[in-house]
Amino acid sequence: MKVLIIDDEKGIIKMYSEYFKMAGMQTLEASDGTTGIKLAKEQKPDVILLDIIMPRYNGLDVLKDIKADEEIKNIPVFLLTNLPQESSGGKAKELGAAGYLVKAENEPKMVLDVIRGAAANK
Amino acid sequence: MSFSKVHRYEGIVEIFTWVIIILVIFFVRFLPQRLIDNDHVYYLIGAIISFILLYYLIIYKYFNRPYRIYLKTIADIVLIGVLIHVLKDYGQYFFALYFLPIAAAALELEFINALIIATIASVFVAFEVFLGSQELLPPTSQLYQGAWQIGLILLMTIFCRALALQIRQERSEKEEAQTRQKALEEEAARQKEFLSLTSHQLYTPLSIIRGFVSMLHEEKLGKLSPKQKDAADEIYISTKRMVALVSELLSISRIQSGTFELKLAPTDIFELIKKTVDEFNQGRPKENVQLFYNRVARIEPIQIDADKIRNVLYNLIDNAFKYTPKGKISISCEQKNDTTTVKVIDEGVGIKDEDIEKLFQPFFRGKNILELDNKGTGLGLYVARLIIEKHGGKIWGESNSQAGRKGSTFAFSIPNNFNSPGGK
Repeated sequence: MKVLIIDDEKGIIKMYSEYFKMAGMQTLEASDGTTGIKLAKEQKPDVILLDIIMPRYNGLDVLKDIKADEEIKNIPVFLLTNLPQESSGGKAKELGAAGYLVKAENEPKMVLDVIRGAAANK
Repeated sequence: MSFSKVHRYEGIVEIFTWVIIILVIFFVRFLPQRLIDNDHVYYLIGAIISFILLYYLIIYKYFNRPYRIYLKTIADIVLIGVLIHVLKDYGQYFFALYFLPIAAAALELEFINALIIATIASVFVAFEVFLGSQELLPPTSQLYQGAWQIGLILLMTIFCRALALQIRQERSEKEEAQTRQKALEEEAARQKEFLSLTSHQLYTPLSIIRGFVSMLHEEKLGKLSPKQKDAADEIYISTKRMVALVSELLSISRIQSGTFELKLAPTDIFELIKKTVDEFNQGRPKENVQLFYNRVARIEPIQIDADKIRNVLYNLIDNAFKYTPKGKISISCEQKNDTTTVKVIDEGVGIKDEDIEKLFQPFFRGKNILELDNKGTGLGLYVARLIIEKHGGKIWGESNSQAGRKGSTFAFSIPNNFNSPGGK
């Protein structure tokens, strides 16, 4: 299973990447939306984990562009952010996100369970 | 019709009205009496109408609103004067027509300008009295008539002026209230953004710590020595507490700053209880404590924010666990008189009567619990109280000793069809 993590925070990428690799997954890493979309098109991951607050190209815009792209629009995108659900949860749902996870409240194990479930239902 | 539309068409409406009045004057008053030669009548009507059109064109093109109203009102007074003169044989009460432009002037213009217009109207009334008389000094009855007409015109001016002041005051109060409301909304939006960013900034390092520590705790990064494992476990538990504390502090700030919105939807609260209890039992089994829910026959869906009420249930159950080193914790739910009551009953150490009132305050611990556990955030019950109050309900705790049982009961009741003004 292939997971793409788009996050500008290196520590976050490292942490999730480490955990998912230990669970036997292949991880792809992008520190901004443009690289993320490019990687998604090239590698066709099973799931995308996307941060919201990123410089220049925020996660909600990235999500909008992913959903507008025929090639990658069917890949489930989970917003993995530290913005509270109240702040962007509604918008994320409207744009077609598969889920909204607050990093601090969800340990890597919980995130892993969620994306495994999504990949199984795909 | 909106005011802007009224303003846009007011000139056309006025000209139209006056043209009709002039035609009526000529055709009703002058023509039947053959006072003017028929051919000349049409030239005269044409000339007067052209003059009015030109007059209005000039005042609309070259004068702004207050001056325009002033000049228009003077024109109105002159035309009304002519009309009254023409109609004088039909009755003396046509002078009341002066009230219309005077009222308009008093409402729109400064008092002194309204007074000038009232004076012009009064001069016209006086002129009419003297013009109607054959003598140099008109008879007393006619003088009285003129006097009360002028008196009424002046009274009307003062009355309309007072009315205008009242309207202006109400309008300015309304505008002030709107400005205040807008400022409050802007402040709430700023607060919301501030809290979102604060939580983001606080959570980002915490989530990295929590993630890596959970790996150490699960020994995913390699086998730890017993001492290392102890240390990793302590860091893991403390990090989780820290995250819970930040989350609850942010919830309190959101509720207190008014940026907290309920997303109300019809919800099966029994299902919510079942789910929460199942999650609890899966996540943290405690050998000596049994957590279960009492089945109910039928529960109507109620209007709540399911995520927030789940948070309340979670806090009440978590609290019951802290009070219950050994025994049972049961959750019951009942609906009566459009209200749903949920009770979390434990068989724990109970609460002292003097502590009951303080339980839902921030960072308060009952004396009994001080000796048991100090791992909570101290904010859970307070957050629960704020959420329940937001739902228009109440929350309370009581000792089971009155019922002759061990432990305590924590409960909340909420209206079934709550419709919050801040809710969505």
